[in-house]
Amino acid sequence: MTTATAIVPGLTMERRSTFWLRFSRNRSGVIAAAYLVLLTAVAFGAPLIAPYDPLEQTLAAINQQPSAAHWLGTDDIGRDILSRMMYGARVSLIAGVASVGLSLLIALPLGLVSGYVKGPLDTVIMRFADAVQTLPALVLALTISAVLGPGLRNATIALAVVFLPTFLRLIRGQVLAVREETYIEASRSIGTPTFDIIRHRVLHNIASPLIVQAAVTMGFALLAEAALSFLGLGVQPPSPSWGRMLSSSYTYVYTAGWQIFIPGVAIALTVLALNVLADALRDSLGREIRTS
Amino acid sequence: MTTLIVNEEVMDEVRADPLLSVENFAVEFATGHGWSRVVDDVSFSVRAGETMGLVGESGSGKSVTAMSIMRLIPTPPGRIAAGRILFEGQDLLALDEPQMRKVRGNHIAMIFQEPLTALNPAFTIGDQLVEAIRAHRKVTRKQAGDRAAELLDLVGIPGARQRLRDYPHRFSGGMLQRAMIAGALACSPKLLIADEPTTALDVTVQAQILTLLRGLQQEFNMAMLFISHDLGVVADICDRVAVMYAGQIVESATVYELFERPLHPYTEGLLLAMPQHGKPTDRLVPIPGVVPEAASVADRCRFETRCRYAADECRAAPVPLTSYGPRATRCVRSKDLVLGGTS
Repeated sequence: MTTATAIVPGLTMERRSTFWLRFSRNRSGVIAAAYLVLLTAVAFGAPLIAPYDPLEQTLAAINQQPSAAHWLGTDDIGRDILSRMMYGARVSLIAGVASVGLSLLIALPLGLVSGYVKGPLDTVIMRFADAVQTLPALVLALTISAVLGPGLRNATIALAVVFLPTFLRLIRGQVLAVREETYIEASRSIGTPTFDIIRHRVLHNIASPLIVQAAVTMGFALLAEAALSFLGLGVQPPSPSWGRMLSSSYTYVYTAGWQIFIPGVAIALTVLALNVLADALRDSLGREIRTS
Repeated sequence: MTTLIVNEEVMDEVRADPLLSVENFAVEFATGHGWSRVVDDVSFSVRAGETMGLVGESGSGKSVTAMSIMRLIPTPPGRIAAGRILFEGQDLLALDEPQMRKVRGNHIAMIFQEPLTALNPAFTIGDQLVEAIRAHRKVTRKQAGDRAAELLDLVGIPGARQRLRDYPHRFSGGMLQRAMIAGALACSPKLLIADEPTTALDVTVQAQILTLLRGLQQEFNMAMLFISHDLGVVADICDRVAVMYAGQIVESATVYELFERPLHPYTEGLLLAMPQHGKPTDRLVPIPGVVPEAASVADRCRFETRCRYAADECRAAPVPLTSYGPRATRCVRSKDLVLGGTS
């Protein structure tokens, strides 16, 4: 940043551009972001670019090895794996984004109020978070999915509930630290309404750790969705999903072993990308502090 | 000292009608064993256009008093146990929160000790000035932005319009304090509470900020409650001073009188502990001991444990604040003691 000022004296740099400047210097972060953008494009452009219908069965060509016609081969009932991967990416991404989004939607107002106002409301909210957290994440997700019934929507809701305590805790903890800062006191001393202080002055200061946590959690959501689908509680057949594909190829691990690696590698890569992105965001988003 | 004389005249004109008047004010905080009174029987007044100093060691209750005027002490654990705070005749303690919010920043503004922590690192200077303006004035963002640039210019920051887009970390300590002052002036308050505004700054910047404050005060005919532990700074900027010790005001007088001839041994102790310009001193004389917990000295003079003039009568009963014309002191022996001031 100091270099930037030196190059263009008198010109003020916006915080946003500092962020991009720092982020663009982080090579692995850029690669991860590019991969995720590409994946999103492929997932949502699947109807246009997928070579085959993901549901079309060709029983004459089952468990075929990768070839020019089927770049990633075919599965146990002769469906094109590449096409199914493309459509499946959509499920994974939706599950990741929607579950984290839903969780944040609930956790953000609750956590902000809990941390800022404190008192009995805080106790109630945090004891609820404690209760949810006593249960192992995946077991809880499984139970909720089982109760609500299988399907992508219910799996997403289940995951959102599982993530809730983590977000609540993170938000509340950050708010507790920020609310004691002199600048919040200063905001109060000029007569800013409490609601504006929470929504504006506090929220902006806790945004960075939250964004990072959201990216990490998306990785976990992706894995959890795959696990739920693998166990038959997520996306229902014949719709393609990475977790589903993992479980069906599992049966043929000795006869068509390459199949299991395709969704496996895709899941691993995507989770890795999300984690690398989270790291890069953390490094670039850090609150501006004066370096002497 | 010529400015002092001028200010005296101003004071006489408005003496009848103080802008802020704190009466028999007490604040308590909840502790493990009941309520602890951290501010006790504090009375003082600030008149329009004058600067009142509030001096004392850490823990003497001066900041709590200041925060209480703004009603910014957290309750609980704090509570206002007694007294009134009259601002333009209106008891601030009787206002509800929305009414109080209209006073904060609008009629009474505050600047803080650490300018770097008092500005939100996640927002630009301009944004925070706009917040201060729009909290009380119905103006568009554009108008508020123009006003913010004016304010920043007023406090002497060059290239004000460009600097509005800067984040606090790009400002130096002195500039941050200037920006804080700009924010405090946003709605032309009648009273500015300055809580050790120069403590975190180095000496040359301190002098600049004091000059700035003095200039702005005259320009806007603004009253100032100036909290400090630095007697040098107080001598420089204040018209009158109240010295606080263990939650009470122990002496109040005009700056000139206080420095010339203190009436309370604690004030004398503070003066002796202060390095003086042009006076060769090998060693400053500290006040022995620490500030006692108020409860432990409730039945006597609170300074008795550390006072070199302490006598039996000092231990007999709590000492009331006694007025001698425009001055007041909380010392039973003030008549027989002749204490040394600065020359």
